[in-house]
Amino acid sequence: MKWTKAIGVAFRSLVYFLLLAPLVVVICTAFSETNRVVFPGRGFTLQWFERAFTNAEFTKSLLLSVQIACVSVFLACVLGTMISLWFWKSNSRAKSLFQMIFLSPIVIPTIISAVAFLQYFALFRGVFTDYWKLCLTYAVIELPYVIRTVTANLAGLDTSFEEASVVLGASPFKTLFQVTLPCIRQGIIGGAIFSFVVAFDECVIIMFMKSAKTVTFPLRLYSYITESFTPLISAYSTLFIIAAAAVLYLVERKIGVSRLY
Amino acid sequence: MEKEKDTWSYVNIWYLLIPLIFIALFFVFPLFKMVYMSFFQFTGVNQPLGSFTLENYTRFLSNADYWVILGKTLGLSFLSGILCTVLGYPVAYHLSRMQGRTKSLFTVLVLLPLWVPITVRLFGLMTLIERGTYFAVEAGLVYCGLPYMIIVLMGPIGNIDRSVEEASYVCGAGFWSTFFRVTLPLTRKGLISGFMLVFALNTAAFVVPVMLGAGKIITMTTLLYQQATYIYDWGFASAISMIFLVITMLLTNSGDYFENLMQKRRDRKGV
Repeated sequence: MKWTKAIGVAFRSLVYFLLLAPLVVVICTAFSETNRVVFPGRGFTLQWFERAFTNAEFTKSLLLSVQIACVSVFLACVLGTMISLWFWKSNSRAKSLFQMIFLSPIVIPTIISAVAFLQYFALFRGVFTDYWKLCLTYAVIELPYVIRTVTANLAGLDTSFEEASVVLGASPFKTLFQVTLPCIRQGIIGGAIFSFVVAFDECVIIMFMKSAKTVTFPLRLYSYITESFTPLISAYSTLFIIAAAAVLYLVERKIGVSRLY
Repeated sequence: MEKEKDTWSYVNIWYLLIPLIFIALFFVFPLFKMVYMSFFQFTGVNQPLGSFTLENYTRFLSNADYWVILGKTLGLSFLSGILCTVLGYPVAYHLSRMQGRTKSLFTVLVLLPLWVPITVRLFGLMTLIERGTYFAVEAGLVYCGLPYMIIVLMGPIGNIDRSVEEASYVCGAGFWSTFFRVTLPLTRKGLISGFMLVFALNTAAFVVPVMLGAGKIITMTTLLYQQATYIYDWGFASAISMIFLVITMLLTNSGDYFENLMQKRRDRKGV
């Protein structure tokens, strides 16, 4: 029994090590004095972080990514909550068909959707700007995530809250905005956070729909990785790892992260 | 009572129609257009389509090179599914038995790679492994699949009644025989769904072969990317997408099929 336990501990440590090693390596290389990313890094300098904060290209891409993510998350949350409410209340026979349609963006591989988007939006040249193409397609990809978390929240919601609100004389809309939506707030916020991460991290659709005007953050990072490979990338990556850890920890404490999956 | 409910309910048909129009316009129609395009000769972007043809499909299906690419893609992701299962199971087992703050902490550690942008994750791997080899791509696939595997396995393992395992120990079984004859069979469903998830995700992985393959390793997804954005043969790209879609759909559903088959065999044995 003792040696099986030892093997277990060793094996698990190895897996945790494998999971975290690439991230730790990235952080280590961010302080290197060399011009190219090397591991282990040489010397200690903060110049890459300094450059990271003053790099105009990256700042522009970062702002663009946040903007696109916010617009698409807003769209996905509004539409996703609407359809979840309909799923919740409806007894329609076609419900399962609609559920299938609305969940299909995560069932169908994103790369196939990306090919379809590329070909479809070529029809509307001049109608949608590159910026809106990304916002709309990202919103579609995020919809299933919002629907999943909101539906999970609605399933545990007692309808008597709404009935009480109506009995007390609130209009249907007042009931929606002051009773139902606050009750499922957690699901909407969870879906929004998840969608934001999806939109911010999206690299497949952008590779197909990229243009000079819409270089989002992942694309900028990718082009720097393939072209220059300087520790500037490590500096940005370090900032992101810290941000991700902070957000993840907060989500885990407030909502419970395993509930999102 | 029924009627009363109707009058106060705020949910009306628009709650269905508005999202439905949205998803139809920006998801269903694009897919239909792709299906349509795969059956016609492609003459150029925004040019009228040529005549009806099956050539896009036969071109893929009759060329051995494309079959090799398909085989490699499936092989790489199948192997990654197995590796993720082997690596992930012990961690998930231990994690689902933890409680409170330690569980939170370790869950965060496992999930952290998923929340870091994928470019950053793969950049970390690139500094450690030389790009452009099958090993690099495989490492990337396992690295991206592992957190999913652990999360999926945690549920079924956590649901096992611990007294079942204790009963096995009391009856004199050792750790390994308890594990292989009690724990593992009880989590079979989770194993299959975890494996299928990683298999399906990695079959459709695009960023990993692009970044770690460095143009030397061609998978189905990079082939698709080439055809759609460099060669601009959208008819052929559509046909590849359709073939690829059918294969991935078959794969994701084969998990249920396999599960049903096992169930039937067990029923016949009367276990």
